[in-house]
Amino acid sequence: MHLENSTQTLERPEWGARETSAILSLKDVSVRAGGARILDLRGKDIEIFPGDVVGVIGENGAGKSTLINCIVGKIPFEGEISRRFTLEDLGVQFQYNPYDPLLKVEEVVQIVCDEGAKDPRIKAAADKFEVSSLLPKKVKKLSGGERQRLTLFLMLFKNPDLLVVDELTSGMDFQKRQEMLYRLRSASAQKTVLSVTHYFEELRGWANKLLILQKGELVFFGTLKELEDRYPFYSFIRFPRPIGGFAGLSGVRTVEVDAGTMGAVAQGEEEEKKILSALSDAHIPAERSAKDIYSLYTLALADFKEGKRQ
Amino acid sequence: MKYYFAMSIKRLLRAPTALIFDLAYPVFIVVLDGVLSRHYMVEDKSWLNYNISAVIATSLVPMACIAFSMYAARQIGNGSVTRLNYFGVKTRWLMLADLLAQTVCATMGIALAMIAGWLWFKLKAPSAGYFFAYILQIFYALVTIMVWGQILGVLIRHAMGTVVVGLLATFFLNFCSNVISGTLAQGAPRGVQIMAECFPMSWVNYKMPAIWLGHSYWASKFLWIAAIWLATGLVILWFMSLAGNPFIRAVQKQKIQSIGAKRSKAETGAAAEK
Repeated sequence: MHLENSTQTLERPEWGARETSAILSLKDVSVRAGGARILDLRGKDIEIFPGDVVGVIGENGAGKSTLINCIVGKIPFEGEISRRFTLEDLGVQFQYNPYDPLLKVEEVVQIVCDEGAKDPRIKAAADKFEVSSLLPKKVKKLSGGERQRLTLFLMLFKNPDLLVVDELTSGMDFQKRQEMLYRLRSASAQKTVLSVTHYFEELRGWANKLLILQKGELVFFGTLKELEDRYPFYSFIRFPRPIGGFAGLSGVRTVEVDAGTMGAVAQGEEEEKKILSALSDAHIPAERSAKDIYSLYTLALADFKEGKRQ
Repeated sequence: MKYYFAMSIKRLLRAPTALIFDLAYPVFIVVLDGVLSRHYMVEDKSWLNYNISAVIATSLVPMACIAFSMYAARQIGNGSVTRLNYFGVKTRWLMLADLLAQTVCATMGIALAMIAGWLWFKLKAPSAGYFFAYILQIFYALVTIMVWGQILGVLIRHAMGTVVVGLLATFFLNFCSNVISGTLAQGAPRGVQIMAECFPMSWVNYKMPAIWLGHSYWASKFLWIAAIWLATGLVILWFMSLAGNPFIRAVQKQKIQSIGAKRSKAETGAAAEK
């Protein structure tokens, strides 16, 4: 497969024509582990409709995988989850996908696909996913990325209507990541997708909804448009956190992006110029970005943390 | 099902513990018994002819309670069954395939042991009728104990745990065999004897030699006791296989309406081929 194919953007169709009944509803869902509540969506309703592509994002330990595991019934939870799909409709890619280490890849393929590994349909699909070379290998010899590739292949071969993907591209190099994403996106047209990821650019032009979690709590759930409307800014400027503080941006909203990075919110072109100039005067390198998922997420998270502090 | 069985038997033959306990261990026990009793003849027959049932019982118990339970536990414990469940692979087929594969390997092991006894230690097969009856009842005992070995593994779900429980079960069942027919037969309290009689493997040791020696065709009490154990074991396994799938467990109380039509084989693979 050529890389230029893998980087093409596949736009989702308009959402107005979608079915009206939710494929998945969560109400007051929470999970306890070791005495602590690791997912707490009490008082929150989440509804996912057929055709939705939901990006599930948040920091490590935010509860993303816990949420996915609740949805697919892998772990017990309190609250209510209504599923309008069967096991046959569901395709799940877990963060870690264990296969019996004594098996060869072709044996796993045979029992999942219920066909011989030499079946032309399996061969053709395996070639496209670059799984053919893995077939004679023992499962225990697979790298993390190869294991993810095998799982994606098996999941898409079953042609399910709901795809649940937990960090599909973790452990893959850039090129493999792009290829796998392209495969997933191509196969997910007209399907419902829940995709957990740390790479927000993977959701660009694909996800229509975001579900943001922070330490087990819901920061935001809604359409990308709703999130954009909540934060009507012009651009977002990231810069390294100045040692000893920096007073040059008074009157400008600044937020913490991470431990070493700050972000300034520009409401218009003039303000953007002012911020860039102030940073330049102080010899602080700056990186401007337009309104994207990452900046929206940063602002939503900052507001959420601020709200918790108050 | 053919893929499940083929996968299961290949997997079993790649597992060192299964190879040792299923194939090597029965031969080792026959050789040990044969060497130790090589000068001991009873009515022109080598001692092994009287002791072959005890040898088989001694082989079958660790085969089921240690090797097979460990094998089953490992598969459940490492999450691979759950992973396959989410691809629609049914736990009951995996478990059935494992049971069949284990039965085949254990039968091979017992056959090898008997061949070794025949080649080296004057083990003489009885006439065809007795031989057939003997093999049939040994196979029945084998399947029964394998079912319980699998239950142990699926229940414990931890390889080291199965070794500990399997060893205890092996000692206990060997003790029961001795209470009925071995060195403890005379002195054991009646209550202990009644308890020992409840286990089919005790009867393999106790009544099967008469079949091998051509005195009777059937060990009728063994057949009834094994039937109860086998039927109970299969029912337990059936419920275990149903409960094995977490998604099914999660949604079993929920009325589900599928969003997609039933997929034909032609439809599966279509998305992957895109």
